[in-house]
Amino acid sequence: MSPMPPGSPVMVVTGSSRGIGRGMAEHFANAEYIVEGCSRGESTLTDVPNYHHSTVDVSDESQVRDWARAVKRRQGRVDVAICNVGLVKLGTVTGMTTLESFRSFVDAILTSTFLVCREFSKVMALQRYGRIINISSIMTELHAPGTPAYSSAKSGVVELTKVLARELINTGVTCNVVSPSLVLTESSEAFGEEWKKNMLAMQTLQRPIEIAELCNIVRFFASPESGCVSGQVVHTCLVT
Amino acid sequence: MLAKDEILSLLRESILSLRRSGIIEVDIAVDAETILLGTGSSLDSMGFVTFVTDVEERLNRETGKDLYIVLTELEERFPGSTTLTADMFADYLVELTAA
Repeated sequence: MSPMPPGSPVMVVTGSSRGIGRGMAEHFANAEYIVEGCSRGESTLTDVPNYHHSTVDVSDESQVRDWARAVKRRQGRVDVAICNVGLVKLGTVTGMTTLESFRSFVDAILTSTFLVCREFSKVMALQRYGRIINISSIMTELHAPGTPAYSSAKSGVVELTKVLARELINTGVTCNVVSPSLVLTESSEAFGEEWKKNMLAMQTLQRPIEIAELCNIVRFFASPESGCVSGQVVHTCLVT
Repeated sequence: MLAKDEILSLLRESILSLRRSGIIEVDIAVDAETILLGTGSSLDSMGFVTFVTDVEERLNRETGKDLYIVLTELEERFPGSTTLTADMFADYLVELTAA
Protein backbone atom coordinates (compact mmCIF):
# COMPACT_ATOMS: atom_id res chain seq x y z
CA MET A 1 0.00 0.00 0.00
CA SER A 2 1.26 3.47 -0.82
CA PRO A 3 1.82 6.00 1.95
CA MET A 4 -0.81 8.65 2.63
CA PRO A 5 -0.33 10.92 5.63
CA PRO A 6 -3.05 11.26 8.26
CA GLY A 7 -5.66 13.99 7.97
CA SER A 8 -8.29 14.76 5.39
CA PRO A 9 -7.26 13.68 1.90
CA VAL A 10 -7.18 16.41 -0.74
CA MET A 11 -9.18 15.90 -3.94
CA VAL A 12 -9.25 18.08 -7.04
CA VAL A 13 -12.30 17.99 -9.30
CA THR A 14 -12.55 19.73 -12.65
CA GLY A 15 -15.83 21.01 -13.99
CA SER A 16 -17.24 21.31 -10.49
CA SER A 17 -19.80 24.05 -11.11
CA ARG A 18 -22.38 21.78 -12.71
CA GLY A 19 -23.34 18.26 -13.70
CA ILE A 20 -21.35 15.23 -12.60
CA GLY A 21 -18.41 17.32 -11.39
CA ARG A 22 -20.59 19.45 -9.16
CA GLY A 23 -22.29 16.39 -7.75
CA MET A 24 -19.01 14.66 -7.00
CA ALA A 25 -17.41 17.76 -5.49
CA GLU A 26 -20.39 18.20 -3.19
CA HIS A 27 -20.50 14.51 -2.28
CA PHE A 28 -16.83 14.22 -1.37
CA ALA A 29 -16.60 17.63 0.33
CA ASN A 30 -19.43 16.50 2.58
CA ALA A 31 -17.53 13.31 3.27
CA GLU A 32 -13.99 13.21 4.53
CA TYR A 33 -12.29 15.07 1.66
CA ILE A 34 -11.00 18.58 1.24
CA VAL A 35 -12.14 19.37 -2.30
CA GLU A 36 -10.50 21.85 -4.64
CA GLY A 37 -12.86 22.35 -7.55
CA CYS A 38 -12.64 24.45 -10.65
CA SER A 39 -14.66 25.63 -13.60
CA ARG A 40 -14.59 28.46 -16.07
CA GLY A 41 -17.19 30.30 -14.05
CA GLU A 42 -17.90 31.05 -10.45
CA SER A 43 -18.71 28.40 -7.87
CA THR A 44 -22.27 27.14 -7.67
CA LEU A 45 -21.58 25.27 -4.44
CA THR A 46 -22.27 27.40 -1.43
CA ASP A 47 -22.08 26.53 2.24
CA VAL A 48 -20.27 23.29 1.49
CA PRO A 49 -17.62 22.58 4.08
CA ASN A 50 -14.12 21.81 2.87
CA TYR A 51 -14.80 23.07 -0.64
CA HIS A 52 -12.59 25.63 -2.36
CA HIS A 53 -13.35 26.88 -5.87
CA SER A 54 -11.02 28.35 -8.48
CA THR A 55 -11.93 29.89 -11.81
CA VAL A 56 -9.84 27.99 -14.34
CA ASP A 57 -10.10 27.21 -18.03
CA VAL A 58 -8.60 23.72 -17.92
CA SER A 59 -7.86 23.72 -21.63
CA ASP A 60 -5.42 26.59 -21.03
CA GLU A 61 -1.91 25.35 -20.23
CA SER A 62 -0.76 28.25 -18.07
CA GLN A 63 -4.02 28.40 -16.11
CA VAL A 64 -3.80 24.70 -15.25
CA ARG A 65 -0.16 25.06 -14.26
CA ASP A 66 -0.96 28.00 -11.99
CA TRP A 67 -3.96 26.19 -10.50
CA ALA A 68 -1.94 23.06 -9.71
CA ARG A 69 0.69 25.15 -8.00
CA ALA A 70 -1.90 27.15 -6.04
CA VAL A 71 -3.61 23.97 -4.83
CA LYS A 72 -0.29 22.45 -3.79
CA ARG A 73 0.60 25.62 -1.87
CA ARG A 74 -2.78 25.84 -0.21
CA GLN A 75 -3.16 22.19 0.75
CA GLY A 76 0.40 20.91 0.81
CA ARG A 77 -0.49 17.81 -1.19
CA VAL A 78 -2.97 16.35 -3.66
CA ASP A 79 -4.25 12.82 -3.11
CA VAL A 80 -6.98 12.43 -5.71
CA ALA A 81 -7.59 14.12 -9.06
CA ILE A 82 -10.89 13.70 -10.86
CA CYS A 83 -10.84 14.93 -14.43
CA ASN A 84 -14.45 15.32 -15.29
CA VAL A 85 -14.71 18.49 -17.31
CA GLY A 86 -16.38 18.12 -20.66
CA LEU A 87 -18.39 19.86 -23.28
CA VAL A 88 -21.99 18.80 -23.07
CA LYS A 89 -23.76 19.77 -26.25
CA LEU A 90 -25.35 17.84 -29.05
CA GLY A 91 -23.01 16.92 -31.89
CA THR A 92 -23.62 16.33 -35.55
CA VAL A 93 -22.71 13.52 -37.96
CA THR A 94 -19.14 13.67 -39.21
CA GLY A 95 -20.05 15.21 -42.57
CA MET A 96 -21.72 18.12 -40.83
CA THR A 97 -19.16 18.63 -38.09
CA THR A 98 -17.06 21.75 -38.51
CA LEU A 99 -13.40 21.70 -37.64
CA GLU A 100 -14.09 24.39 -35.07
CA SER A 101 -16.71 22.22 -33.38
CA PHE A 102 -14.49 19.12 -33.47
CA ARG A 103 -11.61 21.04 -31.93
CA SER A 104 -13.83 22.51 -29.24
CA PHE A 105 -14.76 18.99 -28.06
CA VAL A 106 -11.15 17.79 -28.17
CA ASP A 107 -9.93 20.85 -26.28
CA ALA A 108 -12.66 20.73 -23.65
CA ILE A 109 -12.41 16.99 -23.04
CA LEU A 110 -9.03 15.56 -24.09
CA THR A 111 -6.65 18.50 -23.95
CA SER A 112 -7.97 19.54 -20.55
CA THR A 113 -7.59 16.01 -19.18
CA PHE A 114 -4.04 15.85 -20.53
CA LEU A 115 -3.08 19.15 -18.91
CA VAL A 116 -4.66 18.38 -15.55
CA CYS A 117 -3.16 14.87 -15.49
CA ARG A 118 0.26 16.20 -16.47
CA GLU A 119 0.42 18.83 -13.76
CA PHE A 120 -1.11 16.86 -10.90
CA SER A 121 0.68 13.60 -11.76
CA LYS A 122 3.98 15.43 -11.23
CA VAL A 123 2.84 16.54 -7.79
CA MET A 124 1.68 13.01 -6.99
CA ALA A 125 4.81 11.29 -8.31
CA LEU A 126 6.95 13.52 -6.11
CA GLN A 127 4.87 12.72 -3.01
CA ARG A 128 4.84 9.01 -4.03
CA TYR A 129 1.09 8.75 -3.74
CA GLY A 130 -1.92 9.66 -5.83
CA ARG A 131 -5.15 8.56 -7.43
CA ILE A 132 -6.11 9.90 -10.84
CA ILE A 133 -9.66 9.14 -11.91
CA ASN A 134 -10.77 10.27 -15.33
CA ILE A 135 -14.40 10.36 -16.35
CA SER A 136 -15.19 8.94 -19.76
CA SER A 137 -18.59 7.94 -21.14
CA ILE A 138 -20.63 5.01 -22.35
CA MET A 139 -20.53 6.85 -25.67
CA THR A 140 -17.11 5.31 -26.29
CA GLU A 141 -18.86 1.93 -26.60
CA LEU A 142 -21.89 3.04 -28.56
CA HIS A 143 -20.22 4.51 -31.66
CA ALA A 144 -23.41 6.48 -32.09
CA PRO A 145 -23.91 8.63 -35.18
CA GLY A 146 -23.60 12.30 -34.33
CA THR A 147 -20.85 11.85 -31.75
CA PRO A 148 -17.61 11.86 -33.80
CA ALA A 149 -16.01 14.58 -31.71
CA TYR A 150 -17.41 13.74 -28.27
CA SER A 151 -16.81 9.98 -28.50
CA SER A 152 -13.36 10.35 -30.05
CA ALA A 153 -12.31 12.75 -27.32
CA LYS A 154 -13.69 10.52 -24.57
CA SER A 155 -11.95 7.47 -26.12
CA GLY A 156 -8.78 9.53 -26.11
CA VAL A 157 -9.25 10.05 -22.37
CA VAL A 158 -9.31 6.27 -21.88
CA GLU A 159 -6.10 5.79 -23.87
CA LEU A 160 -4.38 8.69 -22.14
CA THR A 161 -5.27 7.19 -18.76
CA LYS A 162 -3.83 3.79 -19.68
CA VAL A 163 -0.59 5.29 -20.95
CA LEU A 164 -0.27 7.37 -17.79
CA ALA A 165 -1.02 4.31 -15.67
CA ARG A 166 1.96 2.54 -17.25
CA GLU A 167 4.25 5.54 -16.87
CA LEU A 168 3.37 5.98 -13.19
CA ILE A 169 3.16 2.33 -12.17
CA ASN A 170 6.21 2.51 -9.90
CA THR A 171 5.39 5.84 -8.31
CA GLY A 172 2.46 4.98 -6.05
CA VAL A 173 0.09 6.82 -8.39
CA THR A 174 -2.80 4.94 -9.98
CA CYS A 175 -4.84 6.07 -12.99
CA ASN A 176 -8.26 4.69 -13.78
CA VAL A 177 -11.40 5.53 -15.72
CA VAL A 178 -15.03 5.63 -14.73
CA SER A 179 -17.27 5.38 -17.76
CA PRO A 180 -20.84 6.20 -16.76
CA SER A 181 -24.01 5.38 -18.63
CA LEU A 182 -26.71 8.03 -18.71
CA VAL A 183 -26.56 10.35 -15.70
CA LEU A 184 -29.30 12.87 -15.29
CA THR A 185 -27.83 16.32 -15.00
CA GLU A 186 -29.12 19.73 -15.97
CA SER A 187 -27.15 19.41 -19.21
CA SER A 188 -28.54 16.03 -20.25
CA GLU A 189 -32.03 17.14 -19.18
CA ALA A 190 -31.74 19.99 -21.65
CA PHE A 191 -31.43 17.47 -24.51
CA GLY A 192 -35.05 16.41 -23.96
CA GLU A 193 -37.10 13.27 -23.39
CA GLU A 194 -36.60 11.81 -26.89
CA TRP A 195 -32.83 11.96 -26.56
CA LYS A 196 -33.01 10.36 -23.10
CA LYS A 197 -35.27 7.58 -24.42
CA ASN A 198 -32.86 6.87 -27.30
CA MET A 199 -29.89 6.81 -24.94
CA LEU A 200 -31.55 4.35 -22.58
CA ALA A 201 -32.49 2.13 -25.53
CA MET A 202 -28.79 1.73 -26.35
CA GLN A 203 -27.73 0.62 -22.85
CA THR A 204 -28.59 -2.44 -20.78
CA LEU A 205 -29.34 -0.43 -17.66
CA GLN A 206 -32.76 1.00 -18.37
CA ARG A 207 -32.54 3.93 -16.01
CA PRO A 208 -30.30 6.91 -15.46
CA ILE A 209 -27.74 6.46 -12.71
CA GLU A 210 -27.46 8.71 -9.68
CA ILE A 211 -24.40 10.80 -8.89
CA ALA A 212 -24.11 8.94 -5.58
CA GLU A 213 -23.81 5.66 -7.49
CA LEU A 214 -21.03 7.14 -9.57
CA CYS A 215 -19.30 8.42 -6.44
CA ASN A 216 -19.31 4.89 -5.08
CA ILE A 217 -17.14 3.74 -8.00
CA VAL A 218 -14.90 6.79 -7.68
CA ARG A 219 -14.52 6.09 -3.98
CA PHE A 220 -13.19 2.62 -4.77
CA PHE A 221 -10.51 3.95 -7.13
CA ALA A 222 -9.70 6.82 -4.74
CA SER A 223 -9.14 4.54 -1.79
CA PRO A 224 -5.60 4.11 -0.43
CA GLU A 225 -6.38 0.37 -0.43
CA SER A 226 -6.78 0.38 -4.24
CA GLY A 227 -3.10 0.82 -4.99
CA CYS A 228 -2.98 -2.43 -6.98
CA VAL A 229 -5.60 -1.26 -9.49
CA SER A 230 -4.36 0.94 -12.33
CA GLY A 231 -5.16 1.41 -16.00
CA GLN A 232 -8.66 0.02 -15.59
CA VAL A 233 -12.02 1.16 -16.93
CA VAL A 234 -15.30 0.62 -15.12
CA HIS A 235 -18.44 0.88 -17.22
CA THR A 236 -21.67 1.11 -15.31
CA CYS A 237 -23.45 -1.19 -17.78
CA LEU A 238 -23.20 -2.83 -21.18
CA VAL A 239 -24.54 -1.53 -24.45
CA THR A 240 -27.38 -3.26 -26.28
CA MET B 1 19.15 35.43 -8.56
CA LEU B 2 21.12 32.36 -7.61
CA ALA B 3 24.75 31.83 -8.57
CA LYS B 4 25.74 28.78 -10.60
CA ASP B 5 27.46 27.15 -7.63
CA GLU B 6 24.32 27.56 -5.56
CA ILE B 7 22.26 26.02 -8.33
CA LEU B 8 24.59 23.04 -8.66
CA SER B 9 24.39 22.59 -4.93
CA LEU B 10 20.60 22.69 -5.12
CA LEU B 11 20.67 20.04 -7.86
CA ARG B 12 22.79 17.80 -5.62
CA GLU B 13 20.42 18.26 -2.70
CA SER B 14 17.47 17.37 -4.89
CA ILE B 15 19.11 14.21 -6.23
CA LEU B 16 20.07 13.16 -2.69
CA SER B 17 16.57 13.80 -1.41
CA LEU B 18 14.98 11.79 -4.24
CA ARG B 19 17.46 8.99 -3.63
CA ARG B 20 16.62 8.94 0.09
CA SER B 21 12.90 8.75 -0.61
CA GLY B 22 13.40 5.90 -3.08
CA ILE B 23 12.26 7.84 -6.15
CA ILE B 24 15.74 7.45 -7.64
CA GLU B 25 17.15 3.95 -7.26
CA VAL B 26 20.84 4.62 -7.93
CA ASP B 27 23.40 6.95 -6.39
CA ILE B 28 24.19 9.89 -8.68
CA ALA B 29 27.12 12.14 -7.89
CA VAL B 30 26.27 15.45 -9.50
CA ASP B 31 29.04 17.57 -10.95
CA ALA B 32 28.94 19.97 -13.88
CA GLU B 33 29.52 17.19 -16.42
CA THR B 34 26.85 14.83 -15.07
CA ILE B 35 24.37 13.95 -17.80
CA LEU B 36 20.84 14.43 -16.50
CA LEU B 37 18.94 13.60 -19.67
CA GLY B 38 19.87 11.60 -22.74
CA THR B 39 22.38 8.82 -23.39
CA GLY B 40 24.55 8.28 -20.34
CA SER B 41 22.01 9.60 -17.83
CA SER B 42 21.24 7.51 -14.75
CA LEU B 43 17.77 9.02 -14.63
CA ASP B 44 14.95 7.46 -16.61
CA SER B 45 12.25 9.72 -18.09
CA MET B 46 10.00 9.54 -15.02
CA GLY B 47 12.98 10.11 -12.74
CA PHE B 48 13.93 13.19 -14.75
CA VAL B 49 10.39 14.61 -14.63
CA THR B 50 10.23 14.09 -10.87
CA PHE B 51 13.70 15.61 -10.46
CA VAL B 52 12.67 18.72 -12.42
CA THR B 53 9.47 19.02 -10.35
CA ASP B 54 11.49 18.82 -7.15
CA VAL B 55 14.09 21.34 -8.39
CA GLU B 56 11.29 23.74 -9.34
CA GLU B 57 9.83 23.53 -5.82
CA ARG B 58 13.25 24.11 -4.26
CA LEU B 59 13.96 27.09 -6.52
CA ASN B 60 10.68 28.69 -5.59
CA ARG B 61 11.35 28.19 -1.89
CA GLU B 62 14.88 29.49 -2.24
CA THR B 63 14.07 32.59 -4.28
CA GLY B 64 10.55 33.36 -3.06
CA LYS B 65 9.59 33.72 -6.72
CA ASP B 66 7.00 31.90 -8.77
CA LEU B 67 9.23 30.17 -11.31
CA TYR B 68 8.40 27.51 -13.88
CA ILE B 69 10.95 25.25 -15.53
CA VAL B 70 9.75 24.92 -19.11
CA LEU B 71 11.27 21.99 -20.95
CA THR B 72 10.71 23.56 -24.37
CA GLU B 73 12.81 26.53 -23.26
CA LEU B 74 15.64 24.12 -22.52
CA GLU B 75 15.30 22.66 -26.01
CA GLU B 76 15.37 26.13 -27.52
CA ARG B 77 18.39 27.11 -25.49
CA PHE B 78 20.41 24.08 -26.57
CA PRO B 79 19.17 23.30 -30.09
CA GLY B 80 20.38 20.01 -31.53
CA SER B 81 21.85 18.83 -28.24
CA THR B 82 21.03 15.18 -27.48
CA THR B 83 21.98 15.40 -23.82
CA LEU B 84 21.42 17.78 -20.95
CA THR B 85 24.25 18.09 -18.46
CA ALA B 86 24.04 19.57 -14.97
CA ASP B 87 26.15 22.47 -16.26
CA MET B 88 23.68 23.24 -19.06
CA PHE B 89 20.72 22.91 -16.73
CA ALA B 90 22.38 25.16 -14.16
CA ASP B 91 23.02 27.85 -16.80
CA TYR B 92 19.34 27.82 -17.68
CA LEU B 93 18.32 27.99 -14.03
CA VAL B 94 20.67 30.89 -13.29
CA GLU B 95 18.97 32.81 -16.07
CA LEU B 96 15.54 31.75 -14.86
CA THR B 97 16.16 32.94 -11.32
CA ALA B 98 17.58 36.21 -12.58
CA ALA B 99 14.45 37.06 -14.56
